[in-house]
Amino acid sequence: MISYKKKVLENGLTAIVHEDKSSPMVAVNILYKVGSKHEDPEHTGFAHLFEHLMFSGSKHVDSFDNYIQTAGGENNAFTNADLTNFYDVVPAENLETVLWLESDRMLNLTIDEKNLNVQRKVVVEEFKETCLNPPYGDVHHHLSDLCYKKHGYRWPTIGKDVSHIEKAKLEEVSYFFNKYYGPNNAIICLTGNIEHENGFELIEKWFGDIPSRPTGEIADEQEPEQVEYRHKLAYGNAPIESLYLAFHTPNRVAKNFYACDLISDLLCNGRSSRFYSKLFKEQKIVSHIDCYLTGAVDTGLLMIEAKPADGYTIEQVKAEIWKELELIKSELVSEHELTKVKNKVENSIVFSEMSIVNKGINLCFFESIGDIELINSESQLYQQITSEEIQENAIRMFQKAKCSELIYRQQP
Amino acid sequence: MERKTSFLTEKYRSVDRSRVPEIKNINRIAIPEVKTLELSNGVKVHCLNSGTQDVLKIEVVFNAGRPVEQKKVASRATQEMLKEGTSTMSNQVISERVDFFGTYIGSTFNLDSNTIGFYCLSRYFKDILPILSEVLFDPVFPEKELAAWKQNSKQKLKVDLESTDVLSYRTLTEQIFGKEHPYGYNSTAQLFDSINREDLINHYQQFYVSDNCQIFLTGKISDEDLVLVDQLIAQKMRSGSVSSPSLMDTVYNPFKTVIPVKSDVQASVRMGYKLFSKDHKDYNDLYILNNLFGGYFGSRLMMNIREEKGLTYNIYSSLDPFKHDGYFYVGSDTSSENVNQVIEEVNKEMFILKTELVPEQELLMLKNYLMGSFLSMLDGPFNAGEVVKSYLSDGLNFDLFKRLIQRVNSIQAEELKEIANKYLNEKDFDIVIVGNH
Repeated sequence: MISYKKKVLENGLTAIVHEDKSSPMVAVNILYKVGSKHEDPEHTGFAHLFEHLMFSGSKHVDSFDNYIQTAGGENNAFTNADLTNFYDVVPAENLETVLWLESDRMLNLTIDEKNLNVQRKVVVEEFKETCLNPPYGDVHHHLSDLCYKKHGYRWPTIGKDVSHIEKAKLEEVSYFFNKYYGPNNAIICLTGNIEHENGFELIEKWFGDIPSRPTGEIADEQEPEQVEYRHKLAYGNAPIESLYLAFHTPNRVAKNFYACDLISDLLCNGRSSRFYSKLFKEQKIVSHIDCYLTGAVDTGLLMIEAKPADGYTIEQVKAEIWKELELIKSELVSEHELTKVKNKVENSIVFSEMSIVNKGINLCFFESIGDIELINSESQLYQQITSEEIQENAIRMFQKAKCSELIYRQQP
Repeated sequence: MERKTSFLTEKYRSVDRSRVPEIKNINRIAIPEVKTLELSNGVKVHCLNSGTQDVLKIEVVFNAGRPVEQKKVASRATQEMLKEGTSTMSNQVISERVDFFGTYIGSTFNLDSNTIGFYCLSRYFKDILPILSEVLFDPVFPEKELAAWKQNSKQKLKVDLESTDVLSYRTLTEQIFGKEHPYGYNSTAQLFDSINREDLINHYQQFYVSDNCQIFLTGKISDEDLVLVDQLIAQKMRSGSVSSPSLMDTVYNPFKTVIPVKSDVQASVRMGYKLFSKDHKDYNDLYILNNLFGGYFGSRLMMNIREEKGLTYNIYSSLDPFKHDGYFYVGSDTSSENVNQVIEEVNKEMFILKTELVPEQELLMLKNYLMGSFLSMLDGPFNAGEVVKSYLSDGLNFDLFKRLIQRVNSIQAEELKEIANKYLNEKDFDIVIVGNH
């Protein structure tokens, strides 16, 4: 159980404070409600590039990182399709340094051609290091493109193509800052060694005078329901031929999201899960198998990925996977097996709450999807899922006509 | 419900951002108290009783790594095969029983030691510990599972060998320590094939014994938990001791290796040489210097090569201490055409550290950053447990860590320059480049 307090400032900034005196640190988490799904399809990768630019300095700050480090802190950030999240952890006595830094860049980021040029190069290297050089590196490019036709999820956060990043311009940077990085499009959360009252006072002091900036219209594209089986054969650096099967899942706040998450756990969370125990341990037809939810805010994906063991083919593996999918559709999961995956969820929620950084990220995330109380109620939502709901969701989800299939093969 | 707050009186008063809030130095760190008890059979248990949540973690660590093994990859194979079945439980049954409590038995290995254990909600500890006990003391190493292990290990290796990152790391450590050295050899398909069930049984019987074992307990520990650990782990452990291994000497000739690959997207560059373990007299100073050089975001390498020149997404230096040895290296992935420039810049940064004193402001930043990082490393019982384990599992005194903290406070710019002159010499470094160059 995480107790927190929440307020909304006049400028629209949502402020959250969670007190945890067992830590000597305070984590400051700021979530901006902008991700790669908001990008122009011809200018992808921009939200992530912008995350890098946020460290380039602001009106009174020449180097964000130098101040954080001098204050004994660490910081990092991530961008995904839905949001951009920054966090800083400092010893409690230096909290104000962080608030000063974060408020200065929210009010007045300064970016010149040189910063932009350097970070463009850094991000191009990141693109190469994560997507072009390693084996299977561009698999998510293929999958996003295959699984989404209309939604902004159809390109990966890093960007559709290196050239999009190379051509990013300074005027786009300031447009993006004004549209998406105002206090009214942000959520700030303090977690750790800080009292509620003091926390809100400091947030008001450092952020209260930042004027809100109208976001204008933010496109909200819905992905139409998939009604045809999709198949793609892609070639690349694939030392072992790999299979990927993807199915659309309900959005993050739908009740059925939790049932689908449990389905992925039943299939492949832990050594006694169905895929792992049957395909990997018993039949030994795969050398790798995994199943997980992407957890996207809008229509997400349940992903299955597998590599055949030596001597087996993709077709054989695919047939066995479908047998398991048919089984979960046709037979009710037992109370024992369902309890097992629910216990796993409970465990992972408790252990994720051991870190003040995680708590800050989660509080901001739940607030961003419209229901901060999910931080405490989600555990219960998982517990309430019945075997019947598992079956209904499996039947709805696992249909050939709703499946996107990618086979990734070595470039000849 | 949301409530709009209105601080009317303060609404028009904006904060003066040109006034930088005063930064306070961190000079006090609460060090967790580790209690070491001796259980039956002389087995030591290190307890870190802390935290606010009802959770518990147990790790049973054996010094059964590469330095003691009698056949290559025997250590890793034994550890990975430990969970594959006992005389009364198949691996399926083990998994089924442990999974039910929401957790899993983790079995990990590093070069020096092998660790098996689990973490759980405290209320399940008494249910899971008997399973761990059986897994640990009655493994049967089934032939069929070993055959599967070999297949899967070879497949994973095949994928790994396509990664320039992995290739460069393998090449560097092999060059530094030697192809036959416990810290230098690389696993190959042939090595996996050559392992048989007897090798595992031998390794297990010789090295999974009481004198070679330490237990780490972290979280909320009750007296009942300790009694259980004694009954189910310590009392069942076979007595035995292991003589200290003597590692072969390495002949060291720095040279440059270039391994061409098909892809011309990026090259992995690694530069490094052999150093020492954590108990060497210069280790703590070098720990600090390493951070200044390439150990954190504000380091020289990062600031120059990434933030100033944009040549890479990541560049770092790392001090990797093992139980009997260690090494120091710089790593980065960069576009093929940048490789020479990156190496030149690394050398340039070493030269600057040897010839110029670190400016006062930068030294303050480094010290505060390190102190803050120690606070973070010790924040929460499991985090603190990792720090404790990293010293005690190598047979070192935890006081070394306390001395490191003191040293961060006391070290001077002149001393950092001296240590740079001792350890940052271009001529000592092996260079490995994997990629088109």
